[in-house]
Amino acid sequence: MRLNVVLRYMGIVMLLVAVFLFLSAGVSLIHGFDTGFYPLLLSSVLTAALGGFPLIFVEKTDRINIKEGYAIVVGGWLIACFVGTFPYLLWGGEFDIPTAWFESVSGFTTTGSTSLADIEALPNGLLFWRSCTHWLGGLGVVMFVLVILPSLGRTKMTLSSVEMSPLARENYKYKTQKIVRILLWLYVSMTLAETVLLRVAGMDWFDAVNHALSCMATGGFSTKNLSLAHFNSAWIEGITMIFMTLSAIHFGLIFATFTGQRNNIFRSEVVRFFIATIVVGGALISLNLFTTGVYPTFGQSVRYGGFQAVSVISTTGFATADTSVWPPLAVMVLILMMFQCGCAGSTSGGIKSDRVWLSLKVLRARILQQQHPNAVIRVKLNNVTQSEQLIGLALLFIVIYILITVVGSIMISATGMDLMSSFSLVAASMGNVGPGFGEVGSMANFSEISPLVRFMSTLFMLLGRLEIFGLIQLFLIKWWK
Amino acid sequence: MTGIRKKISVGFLCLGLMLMFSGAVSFFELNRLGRSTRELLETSSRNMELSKRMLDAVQEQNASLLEAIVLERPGFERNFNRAGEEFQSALDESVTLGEQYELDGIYEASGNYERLVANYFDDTMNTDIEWFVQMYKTTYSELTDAIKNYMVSSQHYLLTNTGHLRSNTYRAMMPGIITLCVAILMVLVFYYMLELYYTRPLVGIDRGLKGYIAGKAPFRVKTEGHDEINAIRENIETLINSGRGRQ
Repeated sequence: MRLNVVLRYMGIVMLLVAVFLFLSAGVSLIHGFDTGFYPLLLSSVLTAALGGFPLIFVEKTDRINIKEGYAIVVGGWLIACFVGTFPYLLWGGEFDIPTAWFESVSGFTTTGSTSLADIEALPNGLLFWRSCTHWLGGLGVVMFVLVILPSLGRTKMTLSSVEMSPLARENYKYKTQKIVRILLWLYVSMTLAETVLLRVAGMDWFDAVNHALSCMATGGFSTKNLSLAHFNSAWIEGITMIFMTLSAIHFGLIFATFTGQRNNIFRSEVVRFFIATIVVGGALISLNLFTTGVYPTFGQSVRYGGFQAVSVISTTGFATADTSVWPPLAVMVLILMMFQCGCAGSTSGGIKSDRVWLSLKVLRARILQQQHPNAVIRVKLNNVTQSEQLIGLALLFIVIYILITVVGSIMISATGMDLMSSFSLVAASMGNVGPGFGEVGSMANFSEISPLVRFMSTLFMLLGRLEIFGLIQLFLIKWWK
Repeated sequence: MTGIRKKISVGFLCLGLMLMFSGAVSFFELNRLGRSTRELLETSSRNMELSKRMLDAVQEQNASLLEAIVLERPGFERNFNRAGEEFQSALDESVTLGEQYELDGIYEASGNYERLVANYFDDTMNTDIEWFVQMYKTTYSELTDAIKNYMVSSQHYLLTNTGHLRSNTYRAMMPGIITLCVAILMVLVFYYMLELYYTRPLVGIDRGLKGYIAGKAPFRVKTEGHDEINAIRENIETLINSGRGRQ
């Protein structure tokens, strides 16, 4: 592995982060030179200096092997989280090192949990930076880097194969260069569209931009302590629900739908399964809320139950109600949604609907195989036969994902946290959802949680975002040789 | 960037600038911390002094009034008014460190006191002991209590503000620490790059040449980049090849 090449690309990631830090400093400037200006500007300078340094020595290269690709993606993510702490630490306030690290990782991994007791105390520049970390993380720092890199060709393919799950890659029917353009085009235009709609629905421009940045990345950071509940507007909730759902769908399919191609979201089995999960899950939660008397009317039950269902399955984590006090059935359905999450090829985290749907198909195929031992039964997804290797990888991922969640829950509960809080914390962190239940519920935050638990939680966030194997491989010494 | 000189110069320049920047940021922040701490302590000390002046002035007024009532000395107003001016001047100079209502309390109590004494003057100095005990003493106590509260509040504010001072210290240190961390990372990267691009290839060329001269092995050395080191390697190879051609 050529460390110098890895350092060059990590440097480019840092330069990109520096640009967004500089933009955030500009936001501070616009909002009357608020207290975030100086920390953001200084962070921007430091990050640009650190990122630009390797570029002095290392010349650009088109040849990147898979190990280098892994190292660039994982290293890029870690270094972005590291430099992302700078403005928080420089600003001070509630931020100490564990809090700043948690906030930065939660931002870049698009988890959206916060360890701040008072978000509204932050200056506008820093609030904008928090939302930017989501936006950058949502599309994937490396994907961004690929767009600005002049050296494309084979390089891109190597990196994108690490960044996206194999299933997402399978689904794409375009060349990598086109994928990057499609992602960017969709991402930017959908963010703009949501910003305008939220403004029309009653938010001011600043809140609309921040919530759109956060929503498109399926993040969950809000500019308000009460998250979306602060606005108490059915219009805002409705718009957010639509964009949360869109953000959790394969971006290539959305593009195909907009351009009138055959391979669109209406024909995709996985999208149908994803939407069906939302409808069934949302209906179950709403009925449970109404029958148990949590909300007096069925309309309110549908409004709050439906919103939380979409918020959790898309891994966004915006809150309009305190789900910790909801009845057990509703909580159970939300936990299951925390595991399934959105579709591959989106900014959503978790196991992904593709893998869950595939595993259900494998289950059906195995049952059929037992009934007809001599039959040749193939597992198909969107009429494409899936290879045994791909199926094996998907099932292995699900097993390891659940195993890590269980082991993680045991580790967290060993620190004294109750079982529901520990389990939901790990599930929500692994799935990059954000809020869990109990001590880490949708209306609570991580400020009361010990620094050790917060640090462990950031590891789960990174594991989930990098689809487990990416992060694990980086720490295997044998792999580096 | 291709030239060795340019690369190394820019590398060192970046490191130098970063270290200078780190030093400047630390110096600026510590200076700011020192200034704000000094300002806080100076304001507190000044307020103590002003409180003392106010108390002295009020006591002076009280003594003058007592003299007038008990000893019935003429011309006490001069002393009384002078003390009143001193009190007003100290009050005007006062700055609130903590809550504004502490200072408002003094304004209110002194207003009451002034009105009461003015009424006493207007009533042709009726030396009614009941008035003194029931009305004057109460108002006077309220004024002195307000001054004492103000004095204590400044100190109390300082005490509660130690948390702020700690946070200010943290803020002052953090830019320096972060800049230093970045500088250290840059030093590590710089060392690695020098090792990879210059030290290792030069050692490799030296070994390769020694091996070739000793006739043990052909000259095969790999270099990174397109700088002078690479040019040296290529020139040596050309030289060896031309030597072979002549043989």
